[in-house]
Amino acid sequence: MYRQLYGFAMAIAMRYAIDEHEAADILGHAFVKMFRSIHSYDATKGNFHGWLKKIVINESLDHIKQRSQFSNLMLDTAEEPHVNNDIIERTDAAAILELVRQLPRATHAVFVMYAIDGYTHKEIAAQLNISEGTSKWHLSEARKILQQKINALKI
Amino acid sequence: MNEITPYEQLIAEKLHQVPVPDMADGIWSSIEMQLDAPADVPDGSDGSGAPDVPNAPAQGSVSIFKGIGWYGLAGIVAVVVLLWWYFGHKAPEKHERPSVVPPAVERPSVVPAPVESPPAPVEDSHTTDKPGKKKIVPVAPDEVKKDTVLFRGVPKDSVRVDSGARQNLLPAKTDSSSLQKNRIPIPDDDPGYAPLPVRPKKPKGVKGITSDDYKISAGKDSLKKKN
Repeated sequence: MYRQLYGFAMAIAMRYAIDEHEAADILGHAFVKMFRSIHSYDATKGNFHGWLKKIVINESLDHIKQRSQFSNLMLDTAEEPHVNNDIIERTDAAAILELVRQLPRATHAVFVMYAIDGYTHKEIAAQLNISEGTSKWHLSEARKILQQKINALKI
Repeated sequence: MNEITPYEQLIAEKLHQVPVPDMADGIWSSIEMQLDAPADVPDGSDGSGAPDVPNAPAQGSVSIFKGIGWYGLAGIVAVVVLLWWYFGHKAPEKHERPSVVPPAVERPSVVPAPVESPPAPVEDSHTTDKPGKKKIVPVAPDEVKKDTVLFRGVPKDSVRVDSGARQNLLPAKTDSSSLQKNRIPIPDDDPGYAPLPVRPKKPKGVKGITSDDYKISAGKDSLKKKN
């Protein structure tokens, strides 16, 4: 069972972690929680992979909360940065992951939750105990920073 | 702002393509350790429930043994404390006992101080006071009593002896009044007591009065005046 779920869970942990070692740490704790609470899994509420994904993300956010502080920032509107998609398509996945990992820790988490895992700002705010405005601010900051870094790859 | 931009979708696709490092074995070992650590206490093993049965009684016996051990240790400690307390308090009592014996010898000497007549009540007061004193100050009174006996034997320094005895009898001063009343009838009854040499002090003032007058005048007057 662990072998079958390892790749799926490790890919999630890798997105939230800043390196492989932290991803392994997150994954270990997530699997321990999964095995201990597997009796509470309710198939009617969703598939097993979705349940495991929540466990891994929650464990990742716990790690991030322990290591970073989410300041309360408000943002109502922000300009959407212009990024050349061709650059992203031509860039290696590992290089893109490194760019995302260079974001500030809180901004990194908000960007991954919103852009990769499909969380809404409301859900992000509830998960990280921040306001929706703060979540939007982090997303805006992530887009600005990534625009600069991706455009820098062009050079 | 609330929509995912095209480049973010591209980034998401790229991130899903990120190769996963082969750390499954290392992570699994850590998972096993974390699962076994708390699981050893209740189960003993993760998979089968068979080992649970032997583990449970073993732990129970160990806990019972530990409990007995603690009770044993507590009992030993309690016994040691009781013995220590018993001998620690008994030792001073032994010292007091010898002191109690001399007071018996002193009784005659002390009794004479109140003079011939009141020996009976005086002796009673001493005896009642002495046991109380034994518990409080056992050693000091014993030495004094011995000294008084020795002084009596040599000369008739009854004054010194009486003073010493009265110091010990200070609480019994209230009895002295009653003793004066009783002195008259008792002196004839106390001839058995040897410590007569002390008698001369108090009898001196009383000798001038006859026995009948002394009984009437002394008892009534003293009481009326006091009251």
